[in-house]
Amino acid sequence: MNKIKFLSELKEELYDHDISAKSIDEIVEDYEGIIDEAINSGEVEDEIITRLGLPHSIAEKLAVFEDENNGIKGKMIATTPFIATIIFFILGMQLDLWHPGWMVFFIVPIAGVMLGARFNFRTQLVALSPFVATIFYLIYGFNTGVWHPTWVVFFIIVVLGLLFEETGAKRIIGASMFTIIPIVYLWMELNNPSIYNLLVFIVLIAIGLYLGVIKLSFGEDNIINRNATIAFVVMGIIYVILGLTLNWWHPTWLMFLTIPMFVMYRVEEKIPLVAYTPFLSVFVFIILGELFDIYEWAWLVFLVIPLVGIFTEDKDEEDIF
Amino acid sequence: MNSQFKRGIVELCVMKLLSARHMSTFEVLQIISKDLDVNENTVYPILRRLSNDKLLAIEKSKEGMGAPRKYYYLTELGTSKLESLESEWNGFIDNVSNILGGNYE
Repeated sequence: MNKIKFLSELKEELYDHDISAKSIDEIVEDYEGIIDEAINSGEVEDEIITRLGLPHSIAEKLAVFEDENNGIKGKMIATTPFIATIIFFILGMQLDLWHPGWMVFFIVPIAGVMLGARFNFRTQLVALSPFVATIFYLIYGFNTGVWHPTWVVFFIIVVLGLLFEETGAKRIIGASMFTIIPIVYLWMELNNPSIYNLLVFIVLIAIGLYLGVIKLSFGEDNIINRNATIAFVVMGIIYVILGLTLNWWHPTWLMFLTIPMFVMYRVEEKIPLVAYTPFLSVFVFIILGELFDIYEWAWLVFLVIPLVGIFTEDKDEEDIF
Repeated sequence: MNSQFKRGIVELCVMKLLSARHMSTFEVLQIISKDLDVNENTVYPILRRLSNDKLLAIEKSKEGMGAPRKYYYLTELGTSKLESLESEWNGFIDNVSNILGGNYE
């Protein structure tokens, strides 16, 4: 492995271990300096890099030490499940609001994003958008019984992703079209509801394909991604049809929890099992609540999250030495 | 050897080294890892910790191409902490020597 590849992998591993952006820059600069000085003193690049070890091991060791520096924020994130549970019980016991009081559990992932070291302002906005959209959609739906056409709020996820993670024409045209067309559809539905109004999204799909925002890759390496993309689009279409025809907006929205789980599985290597548990817990919780009306007991399923975290926890400082 | 103990010893040795003169990251890692038989990646986080705790300060020096070289040195707080750690260590070694050399039959 050469110096450039080593430093690039190290940067990725540090990011994956939730180390802050500022610390990552410092650490990578330091390791570059170590390698340069070793070479200047007569060592061979390969040998020093081999002696330094794998970027994954380096990041693991540093994560243990960096954790102590992120103490307060880490503690705040760790307490949010307990705070959410207390609020949930108060809402349930005092106001009989087991449902939709369970929505306070959204503060757990939101706190993780807002207080997490790896997030800067832009990535925070993008990471928060699915939660904000979901909370708005659910609160409005539960309060008014109106689930359509408010589902267009989920386009905010695409818009923010385009604004903060893309450049050039894809960014400006894409963000504009993914904002304007859903608003046009909303206006059309509110003034003259018709299933044919959905045809306006054909324009959006065409623009998305043209700009590369929507990708259908046909290469062998991407068969799984291609099939998954098709599956999610079909899932979205089925959801809207079920909603429009049978008014099955809730809890069928649960099927969309498979999207973030799939993205984590395909995009991030070495994703811990505990990362999937919040989505699986929400699924089981809602199903138990809706089918058996036991929201006041179903919250117990969220205890799976810390339990899995404890049993699958990585090394601590003892193992570093 | 207990990890907390080992970490304490490495910290003490790093601070002692840097009390003598300014040293680059590479120099510190090389000396400590060779003499104490610990991996460079174990020493580096300790350097970061000591620097975050304001026991060490950093001076950067641009030398040729590549990243600026960092030189660590002990701060006043670090000097005072080193004196306290050395005193504890010397006291500990004396006590251990007494026990190992003593006759307790």
